[in-house]
Parts: sequence; structure tokens; C-alpha cells
Amino acid sequence: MSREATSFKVLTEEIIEKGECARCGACVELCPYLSLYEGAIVYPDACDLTGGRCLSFCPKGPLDLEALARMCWNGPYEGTPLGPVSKVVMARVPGSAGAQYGGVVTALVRAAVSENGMAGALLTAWKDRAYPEGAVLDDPGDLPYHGGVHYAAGYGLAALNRFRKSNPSPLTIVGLPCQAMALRRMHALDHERNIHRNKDDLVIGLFCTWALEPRPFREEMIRRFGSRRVTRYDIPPPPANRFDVFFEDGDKAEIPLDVIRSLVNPGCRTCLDMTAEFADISVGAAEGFEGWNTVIIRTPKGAALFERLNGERIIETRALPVASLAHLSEAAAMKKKKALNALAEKDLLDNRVTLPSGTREAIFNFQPGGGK
Amino acid sequence: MPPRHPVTLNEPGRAELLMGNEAIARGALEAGVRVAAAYPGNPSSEIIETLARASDPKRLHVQWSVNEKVALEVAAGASFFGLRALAAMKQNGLNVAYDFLTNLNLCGVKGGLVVVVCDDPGGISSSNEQDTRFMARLTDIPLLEVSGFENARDMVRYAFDLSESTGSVFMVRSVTRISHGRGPVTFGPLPEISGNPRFEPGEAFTPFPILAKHERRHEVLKGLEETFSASPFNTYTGPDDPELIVVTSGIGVLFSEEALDLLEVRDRVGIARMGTTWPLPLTWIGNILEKSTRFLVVEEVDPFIENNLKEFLGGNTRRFGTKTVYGKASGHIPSVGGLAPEHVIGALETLLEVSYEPRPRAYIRLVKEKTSGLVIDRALGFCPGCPHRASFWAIKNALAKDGRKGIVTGDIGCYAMAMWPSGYSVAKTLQAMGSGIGVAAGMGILDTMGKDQPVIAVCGDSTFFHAAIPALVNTRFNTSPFVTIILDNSATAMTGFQPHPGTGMTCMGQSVDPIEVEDICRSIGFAVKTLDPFDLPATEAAVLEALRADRPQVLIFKRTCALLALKETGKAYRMRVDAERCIGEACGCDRYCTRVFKCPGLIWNPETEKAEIDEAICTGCGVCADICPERAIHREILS
Ligand SMILES: Cc1cc2nc3c(=O)[nH]c(=O)nc-3n(C[C@H](O)[C@H](O)[C@H](O)COP(=O)(O)OP(=O)(O)OC[C@H]3O[C@@H](n4cnc5c(N)ncnc54)[C@H](O)[C@@H]3O)c2cc1C
Ligand code: SF4
Ligand code: SF4
Ligand code: SF4
Ligand code: SF4
Repeated sequence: MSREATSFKVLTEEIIEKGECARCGACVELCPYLSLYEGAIVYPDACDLTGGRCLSFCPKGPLDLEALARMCWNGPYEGTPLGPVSKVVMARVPGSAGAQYGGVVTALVRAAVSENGMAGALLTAWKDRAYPEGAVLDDPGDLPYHGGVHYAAGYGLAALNRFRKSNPSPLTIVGLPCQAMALRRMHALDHERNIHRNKDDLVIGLFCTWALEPRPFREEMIRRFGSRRVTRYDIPPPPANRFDVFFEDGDKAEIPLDVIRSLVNPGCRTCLDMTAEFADISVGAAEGFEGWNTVIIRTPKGAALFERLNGERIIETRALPVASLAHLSEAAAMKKKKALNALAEKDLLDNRVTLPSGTREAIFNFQPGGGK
Repeated sequence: MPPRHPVTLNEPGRAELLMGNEAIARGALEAGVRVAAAYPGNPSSEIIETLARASDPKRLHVQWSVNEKVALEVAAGASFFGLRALAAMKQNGLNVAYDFLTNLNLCGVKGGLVVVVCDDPGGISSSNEQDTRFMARLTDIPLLEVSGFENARDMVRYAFDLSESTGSVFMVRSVTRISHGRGPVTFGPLPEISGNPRFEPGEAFTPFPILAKHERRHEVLKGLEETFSASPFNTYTGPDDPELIVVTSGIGVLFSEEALDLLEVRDRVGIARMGTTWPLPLTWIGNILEKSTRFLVVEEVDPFIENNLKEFLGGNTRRFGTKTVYGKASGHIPSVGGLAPEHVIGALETLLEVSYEPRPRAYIRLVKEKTSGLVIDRALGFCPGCPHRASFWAIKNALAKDGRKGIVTGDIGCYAMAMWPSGYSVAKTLQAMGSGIGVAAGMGILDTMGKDQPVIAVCGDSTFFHAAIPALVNTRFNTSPFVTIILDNSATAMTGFQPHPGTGMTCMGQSVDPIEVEDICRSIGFAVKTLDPFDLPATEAAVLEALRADRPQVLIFKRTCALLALKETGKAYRMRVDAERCIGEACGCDRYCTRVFKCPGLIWNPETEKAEIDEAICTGCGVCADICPERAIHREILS
């Protein structure tokens, strides 16, 4: 008797154990079978259901990009480097201490949670913790403490699954590209026990080239620095080629970027998205402009929020230089190319990830300067 | 003091339906046994349990020793002082006692000393099905095999007499189907107990000089060849010149008789029942071998008689000419597992070219129909409310969280079931009593060679006293970083709740200061942590922490066996599944309680598609309430 492989089996054997997991957290804490412990998904028991939420939510699960794009964007998936863009600008929050770069993300969150119906924000908290993890904040007063990034993936969406068990309200969610994609799948899945269906969440995406694998990164940090408390990590723009670690006591240490690269989460290698294309608004660094962010406004919802901040003069903006935009597109296109190659190498193209015909060629043929 | 058992009554002529093990005990009583010692083990446990009911500090000392070797040593001590003594054990137990036995044989005995070994063909309640008869031959001691109930009583009495007259340890072998079967026994008289134990000046019991003592063994065996030939335990029934003779021992005797009757071939086939299997009763067996040319040997488990016969025939070809011996080597009798009458019938059908019609097919079908459903189909597993289930739940989860693909080395006891789904299949090795810790110690030392998988050894409380202490001392001495978990359920549960040093009670009903497992571990030098396995989060956290340590760790999971707890304190909670909350097979649960946790107290109702509590067997331990993802299982405190 041939049976359809269970969702759990595909997720654990084909995705997690084959190094495909992005560590977004969407599959975690939906049930007793998949839970989180110290930066890893643990699954002591096997579930034998098919068509489960875990695999349907997973951004690395069977995925038809065209279908997802049509549903989220009302348009095709064309493989353009930055995805759908309504506007790209540079922005910053003057005097935002503790932020990674310009503090735009924290400012967006602060504005969004004050809107009607929002129950709070889902962030990735990491300070004073061994591992980054999702946390739902309902007090905007706590926000400044949660600025800055941890470069290890944090399974933040696990906290969303936990939260929604008792609270159906929409949230403002800050996430990496994989998490933005997972969120859209969570919003869309037609399943009687999908607690996220049609939720009016606001999604703030972060740019991301890769994230680190949590346990090995922590081991490396402990090996180098024991349990010294870190307040900030940063990857200064090329040609610095370093990873900077800032300690609570004001000290700073550098780790060669190659060492850090060896700790990259393998699942990131097949990720096509650098700029969180499925977010309402995406934020990243503005290379060469210290203290500024690059912001990609994508949806009307994202635009409205950004305009509100702009109007209230909470943020200041300036045009993104053409060269910077070209550089950003090139980096994003490069990530797509590498991911396509990696997907092909792992024989996952068409088997797991389906792209519309022509899109593959469009990605490989992308010429710098030709992006939207 | 345990209540008197009919077996203990001095009423000659009284007939009782006795279990094989009770008949063995009765034989020992009729032989005037003064000391009996054993370590519990199926199928031998009832021998000591029965004798305990006749125990009396002045006349008969009975004890559960910590292991079989000590039991045999205790019995030998009494024998050296001139008293009759018995040590009982299961087949695996003989291995533990064997080191001592292989020296004791040379030393000789004074008071009759009988070792009763109950083999477990098929390994029904054992980790192997070893045939211990070879071990008697290997160490040059005489071997008798019981083949019935009255026969067992008689044979034990006979063994004591001969043991004393030859100054030799005797081994009596029983098997599960006799030890646990029942049959009528008519009592003989119980002897007057008199005389004080005494060690005479000039006596000594040592194996030296070894060669002379070894020689002496051979002389005793030589003499017994003739004694056994005259023994009433070797009998022949059948024609004077049969086509075939069935040579059989033990339960094989009963099955062979049945086969001969069912096939109605008594006029063609003789049956030679052998009660004294080592040394071969040469005169008797020589006569048998001369009667026919074809022999079928029927015995459990290995070809012991079969090989000995062939050896004897091979050495006497001139006398016997060409004979054919069928049995295990020829494939007529299965070479593994316990016997059944069908096996003998099958062999005789081929050898005699007869055929046997069992009952008509329609009848068999009817029986199947009528009996199906009478017995609930249940997988081998822990009882409802068993603390081991909670323990292995915590261990399984801790290993998953630890994430280094750690393993568990198992040991002998109920918790051996941890190699199956009831214990979440966490245990990956299983050998002898106490070997879980020893094997883990061998794994732990590999850390310095690059091993990165942690190891947990589990060990029960009774097993701890039996054989685990040396391994634990070794672990401390030759430091090996692994985690020992002692599953202390305050019982030797698997074999029937016999007391052990930690329970504070002897089998003679005396209360003594219990020896705490924790104290022993501490004094070896471990920082011991004791946990209640029903507190799943704390237990899991402790295991995780221990797994991360780089020195050997000892945890004790203490919780009384569910069966004892139910008897002693009753149910703690009344359990209920809230059908409104239960999501059953839906995504988010997938029958977590009945499909994964697997306490038999929880049942899946396919009609309502909800879980339910089986009130009749749920022990009210309350653990399942903590594992339900929907908090649908409720506990109600019972006063
Ligand atoms: C793993 C990782 C890789 C990144 N790679 C790039 C890159 O290649 N190029 C680029 O331009 N930008 C990258 N970023 C984004 C960048 O670091 C900043 O987060 C972004 O520019 C916003 O800056 P800010 O000053 O507005 O942030 P802040 O206002 O300080 O807000 C930071 C936000 O990041 C969230 N966060 C922190 N750690 C994580 C995490 N592990 N996972 C998810 N969310 C987290 C917090 O919840 C917080 O809301 C990356 C971020 C992460 C987490
Ligand atoms: S989310 Fe559903 S399908 Fe997936 S493991 Fe959990 S119960 Fe099973
Ligand atoms: S990518 Fe996200 S949803 Fe998929 S397995 Fe990893 S954590 Fe789970
Ligand atoms: S309370 Fe639950 S776990 Fe305990 S015996 Fe009853 S059904 Fe089993
Ligand atoms: S674990 Fe809870 S929700 Fe799941 S079947 Fe059992 S009682 Fe129902």
C-alpha cells in the first residue's frame, strides 16, 4: 500500500534534516510534534497526518511561486531582483540609539502598534538570551530595548503560533524574507485549524543575505568570548570582511567574516529572496551611509504607514542614489542566481519550488542597471 | 510471616494440585532442606516463594539473595556445615552463579546441595533461551531433568540424597512449561529436623589440589553412570523391537506421550524417558539403543541428549552397528524455541509415514470465531500509570532536545520494554543484569576519541543491587562521562514483587533497615539527584542537564510501581477527557495521548473520534493530563 508521505516526515526528513530549513518558526508550536529548544527544532515523536499545517506553512515546503505571487501581489512572479516595488528611499530616525542602522524598523513598529486593532508586535528578542527567539510585545515602551539584530535565525514565527492560540488579533510582524513568505502562506492556507487565515497582520521585512545557524554560532561565540554579554553585532560593508561584536562593557571584537560564513544556515543557500518581497515594507542597510536605512515600500498598507511616519516627521528621508539602487539590485539578483543554482543542484527545482516558465532565464539574464 | 501453604503441611497421603515449582519446593521439604536461597527470575521464582511459607529461623532459612551467585554461596555455606541446601535460579541466573559453581564442583559439598535451574525455552520471559544442561556437563556435575509434577518432587528428593552420598553438587533442570504447569502430587512425609550445623576440624572445601579434585569429579560421574542406570527416573515403554524409539526428557516426555497416543502408534514406537541426563546412564541407554535402529530425540532447547547419544554410538560402533538418530540436526525437531505436541507429531508423521487429522476445519473456524474478541489485543507494554512510562517520556524528550543523537543502554527488568514503542524505543542495547551501566561505561570513555553522542544507562532498583554496583564503581574509578538513571520503583516488579535490600522486608517476613540506592551512589562519590518521574518537566530538565555534564552523573527516578501504589494507596485522581476540548485526529494533536504516549488507560473511540479514559484500568496517576496539547484531559483529586 503506497501512502502519501506525512507532512511531518517531509518536513523533518526532506527539509530539516537535508539542511533546507530556514528556521523561520512557522511549523513550530502548532502541535506537540515540533517544538523549539535552544536554537533547534526538536521532534521526539512522529505525527502521521498528511496535509498538515506545518508543511503548508513552511517557506521551504512545496511552493508554487507564481500562485503565491498572484495571491499576494495580484500579479505574476517575474523574478525581478527586488520583487514588487512601489518606492525605494533612504530613511532614518534621528537620534535612534540602540538601533541596527537608521532605526526605521523600530519606528515603523511603534507607529503600527498604535493603530486600531493591533494587539502588539512580533519581534525577535535576543538581548540577555542564549538564542534569539520570537516575542510578542504589547507595550511599545519596551521597543527600544529590542532594536538591533542578531545574525542567527530565531524561529520567530513560533511565537506567533503560540500567541494565536489564545488571541486572534492582528499583529505587526518584523521578519526576515523567509518569514515574510511563511506569513503569506499562513494567511492564505485554507485549513479548518488554521488560526492565521486572513489575518490582517502588517509585515515589516528585513533585508537578508543569509542568517547563521544558531547552535554552531553560539558555540563559536562561547569558544571565543565565554559568556560575555553582547549588545550589538554588525557586518560593516565591503571590503571590511569582518564581523563586529560589541560587548556590554564597551569593548569590541572582530571575527573574520570567513569564519562567520562557515556558520551560515545551510537552508539560506536556496533562498531566492534578499529583500523580503512578500512584506508590506522592507528595510535594510544603506551601504555607504552610516546610520541610514534603505526602505522598499511595497503595498498600500506599507506606504500608508511610511507616509504617516514621514508626515509626523518621525523619520527623515532622502532619495536613494542611483548607484546604490543598482548595487542593491545586483546583490539581490546575485542571491537569486546562487539560490537557483543551489536548488538545481539539490534537484529541488520543479520538485519543490516551481517558477513560471521564463522566470528562470530572467533571473540568469539579469543585467545590472536593468532592475525595476 | 507469610501464610502457610498446603505444600508445607506434614500430611503424608494428602493430594494437592501443585505448580511444578511448588512440587520442587515440596521435594526439597521432604528431603529436609534447611537453607534455600535464590534471586527472583521467571520461571523459577515460585520455588523460593513457596519455601518461604515454610520458613522458620530455627528449621528452615529462606532468602532472596541479591543475586544468584550469592544465593549459591549462601547455600554452599550451609552445606559445608552439613545442612541440606538449595539454590534456585533461572537460566540466565546460572551464568551469574557459574563462576562460583565451577569452583564449588571441585571443592565438593557436605550437606546435600541442589541447584535448581529453570530454563525458559522460547525466552518467554527472558533475554535468551539458553540450554543450561551443557553447563552441568561443562563443569562435571550430575544433571537431572524433571518431566512432571510428582516426578519433580521425587527427583528433588533423590538429588539431595545422591548429592550428599557422592559429595557432589547436583543440578536439577526444569523448564517453563513444567515450572508453571500444574499437576497432582501426593505428599510424602516431612522429616524430623534435628542436629546442629557443624564444621568438623580437618574438613576443608577448596579446589586444591586441582588435578586430584578434577580426577575425583570424573570418578563420581563414572560411578553415577551405573547408579543412574538403576534409577527409577529412566523408563522405557513400548514393544521389544520397535521401529523407532523416541528418546526424550523434560516436557518432551509429556508431548511425546501425547503424540504417540494421538497417532495410535504405540505398537510400532517405544518411548525412552530420560530423567538423568548427565552422565549418561550407560547400561540403561545401551539396552535402549540395542532395541531399535532408529531413534528420535525430543528435547528442549538444544541437542544435548542427541549429541551425547551420537557420541556414545560413535565410540561403540562395533557394539551398536548402524543406528540413525533423528532430531534437531536432521531437522525433524525445531532447533530453537520451546516444544509443542505438534512438533513431535510432525516428526513422527514423516518418520513413520503416517498422517494425523487434527480436528475438522469447520471446528477450528468455529473455535476461532467464538474466542476472538475474548482477549483484548494489546501490545506488549508498561501497565497503566507505570512510572517507567513517565521516565522514558522524559528521557526521550531530553535526548531529542539535546540533539546529539544520544542513546540509552537498557537492562533487565520491566523497563527492558524501553526498546519497544511503550518506552518510545529509546533503549538500544540489552544484555545481562547490570550490564547497561557497564556497557555505557565502555561508550563513555570514547569521548576522548571523538564520540559526540551522549549515553544514558538505565537500571532498576533490584538490578542495581544485583549486579550494577561494580559497574558503577568502575565508572567512578575509570571515569566515564555518561548518565546513569536508576529507575527505583521499590519493587522487583517483573518477577512478582519480591522484596529486595531496598524494600526493608525479607522473604521470611522480617523487617530490616532498607538500604538506600541513593546512599550507595553517594558513597561511591556521585552527586545524586532524586526525581519524581511524574513531574515530567523537572525530570526532563534534570536529564538534559546531566547529559551536558562532562563527568559521570547519577539520577534516581523514584516512584512506586503502579500496581503496588494502587494496592497501597489507591487512585490519586479520577481522570476525564473533555470531549469539547479534545481535537483527536486533527492537525495539532493526531491522537497524541493514545497513539504516542500510549498509556493503556487511554482509549481512542473511533465513533466519537475522541479519546476516553478506560476507568477500569486507569490508575489515576494523572500524568497524561500534562501531555495533552489541548489540555483536554482533566484530573479530579480523589480524597
Ligand atoms: C539575519 C539577518 C541578516 C541581515 N542581512 C542583511 C543584509 O544582508 N543586508 C541588509 O541591508 N540588511 C540586512 N539585515 C537587516 C539589518 O540588519 C537591519 O535589521 C535593518 O536594516 C533594519 O535596521 P534598523 O536600524 O531599522 O533596525 P532596528 O530598528 O534596530 O530593528 C531591528 C529589528 O530586527 C529584528 N531582528 C533582530 N534579530 C533578528 C533575527 N535574527 N531575525 C529576525 N528579526 C530579527 C528585531 O526584532 C528588530 O525589530 C539583516 C538582518 C538579520 C536579522
Ligand atoms: S502541524 Fe499538524 S501535521 Fe504537522 S506535525 Fe503537527 S499535528 Fe502533524
Ligand atoms: S523553514 Fe520554517 S517552517 Fe520550514 S522547517 Fe524551517 S522553521 Fe519550519
Ligand atoms: S491517569 Fe492517564 S496516564 Fe495515568 S493511568 Fe490513567 S490514563 Fe494512564
Ligand atoms: S491528547 Fe488531548 S486532544 Fe489529543 S486526543 Fe488525547 S485527549 Fe484529545
